Amino acid sequence: MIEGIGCAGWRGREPDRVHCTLGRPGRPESIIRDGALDPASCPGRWNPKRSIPPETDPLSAAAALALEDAGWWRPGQEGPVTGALIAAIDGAQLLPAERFLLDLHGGRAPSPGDFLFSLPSSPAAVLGILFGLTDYQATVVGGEDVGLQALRHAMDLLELRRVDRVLLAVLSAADRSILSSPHQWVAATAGPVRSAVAWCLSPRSARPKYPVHLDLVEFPEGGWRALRVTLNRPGRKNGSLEETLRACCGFRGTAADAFSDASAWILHHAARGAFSPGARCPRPS
Amino acid sequence: VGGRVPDAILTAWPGLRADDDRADPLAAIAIEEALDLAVRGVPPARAPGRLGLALGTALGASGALGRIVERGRGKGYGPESFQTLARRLLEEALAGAARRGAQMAQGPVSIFSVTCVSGLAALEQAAADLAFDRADAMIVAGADTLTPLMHGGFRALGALSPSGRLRPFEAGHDGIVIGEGCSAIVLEPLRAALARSGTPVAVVASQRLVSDALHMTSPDASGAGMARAIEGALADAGISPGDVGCITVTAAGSSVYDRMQGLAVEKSFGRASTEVPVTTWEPAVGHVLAATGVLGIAFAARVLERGTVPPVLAGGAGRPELDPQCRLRYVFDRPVPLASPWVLALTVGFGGQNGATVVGGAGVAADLAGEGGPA
Repeated sequence: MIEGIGCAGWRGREPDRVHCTLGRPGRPESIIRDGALDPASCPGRWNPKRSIPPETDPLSAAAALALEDAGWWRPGQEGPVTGALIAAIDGAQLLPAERFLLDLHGGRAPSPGDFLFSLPSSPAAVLGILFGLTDYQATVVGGEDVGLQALRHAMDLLELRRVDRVLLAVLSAADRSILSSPHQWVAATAGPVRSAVAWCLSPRSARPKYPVHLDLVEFPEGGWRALRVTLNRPGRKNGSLEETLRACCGFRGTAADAFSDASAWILHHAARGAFSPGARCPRPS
Repeated sequence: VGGRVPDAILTAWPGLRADDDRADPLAAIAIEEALDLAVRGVPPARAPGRLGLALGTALGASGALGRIVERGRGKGYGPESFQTLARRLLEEALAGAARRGAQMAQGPVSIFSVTCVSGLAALEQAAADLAFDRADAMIVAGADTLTPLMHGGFRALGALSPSGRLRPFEAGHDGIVIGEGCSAIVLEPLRAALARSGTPVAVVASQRLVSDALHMTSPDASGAGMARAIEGALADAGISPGDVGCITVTAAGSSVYDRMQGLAVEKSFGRASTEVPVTTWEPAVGHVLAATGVLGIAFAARVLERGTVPPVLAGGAGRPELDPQCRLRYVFDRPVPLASPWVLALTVGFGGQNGATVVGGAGVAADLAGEGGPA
């Protein structure tokens, strides 16, 4: 069950970069400034004098929004957050790896930081330190369906009671320099794009914050997956097809896309009171 | 095992090009060999598509990225290279299985990256895929290649041993020696394995992975995180510290990690911490990065099968001078008998990732298959 939702992203190069955030109405502005999380919000384990590494941007902002929405964390909290962390990365590690290798082959001293962020697991490691997530931690890597694989991993571990609750964090990064093959749509944009989505997931409960049903639809023949989000209506196990959103992976090309689409849909209906008892069934958007 | 591959071997090995990185092909051979060995244990499938792969890799196909950067940008390298690696591994596994007459096709495939515990995260998903009946058997593998990115990265961090000798637990150790390669096991449900053959190689009785979440490269030096992993794994397996016959540790040549694991064992084992024999394979092959976790399980299986705890490979004869803060019963010089059918395998990863896996011998499989045992 989804207990918290946060999305953050940006497009373009500085100083013309455009930031956007999506979360529970009224919340993003209070936590996120200029598209970024203030490290002073995380005084527990992170050195507040150190900026949050840009390689993690905007995943830390999305995670803060989701954790705060779920009530698992509040800005300024020093104590650790209980829960597992499962991340999905579809390319954020490639740009620092490229920088490192260009320096190495160019006779310049490569940056240890570039090596660290060549490891796909490093953005999750930063989140772990920021929020004190000391339980199970894993990063799923691969192409554009990697977020859905991470969701499956999270749902499996929750179902098997291997973990009590999960922060699912999906980070997509695309830049025309080396990612032209998997993210061809980026060629049509003005510059690099980053998007991140975080969901707080818990086992099924009687009163979930966002009463939606998640399932992964597999199409073995085509080798692709889709995320289906269905409203849980009182007295019904699943909604009708009209109540169902299919956010297909590969629709626009990054791992975070399916999750940002689904997040927007869920938050839209939450804001309209669609999850209240007796509310009218919303139409798909 | 890291090293340089002579051109004669490169040109003779099918599928390898002479202009490949010299380290990369050796890992490719290791991957092929590891999977070839693993698929010998793949059981006959009920239907096509019932064999899956869960792979752990710290950097994935970074060798390919290095070559593209060397040859010029814009060649279209992307995250699909991780998928390519997984597909290649699975195809090799399937080809090996097909040579043995097994009827299999592609099952669930997933790839995890959690530094050196990557293979253990893959094991979690593999166990889930079996629990939800998505596959009859899963190949669980860890693989990394010693590329310029990997080697240059550890050098930039100042972590590499200048002497090139890996001397775990020793007072005079001087850093990490990196290896490369692949470790692979075939995982199947315990009851299915017993029904099929009656004698599984070993049983993964329990596993706990926890994160210190304190620093990007360093662990919690107190060992509290690893102690939490150990205590959870022992509790899940239903055994006590006194039941453990051997502990295998990740000994990459970092005194911080050596001491941390020692403190964790002292915290969780109490008085028994000085009685259980402790060993490691790392000086023989180097620190094999994401292959470490699964190699720990495979090593534990061999310890259980042979009934002896092999000694740590030291540079000279006899017991070397140890770091005074490493106080466990490290086995040097000669093997010691294994006193119980349980091995605790400890795996540590960059940035405070802790894995504790309890592996049981074939002899305890039937008991475990009863009510309340692991699946």
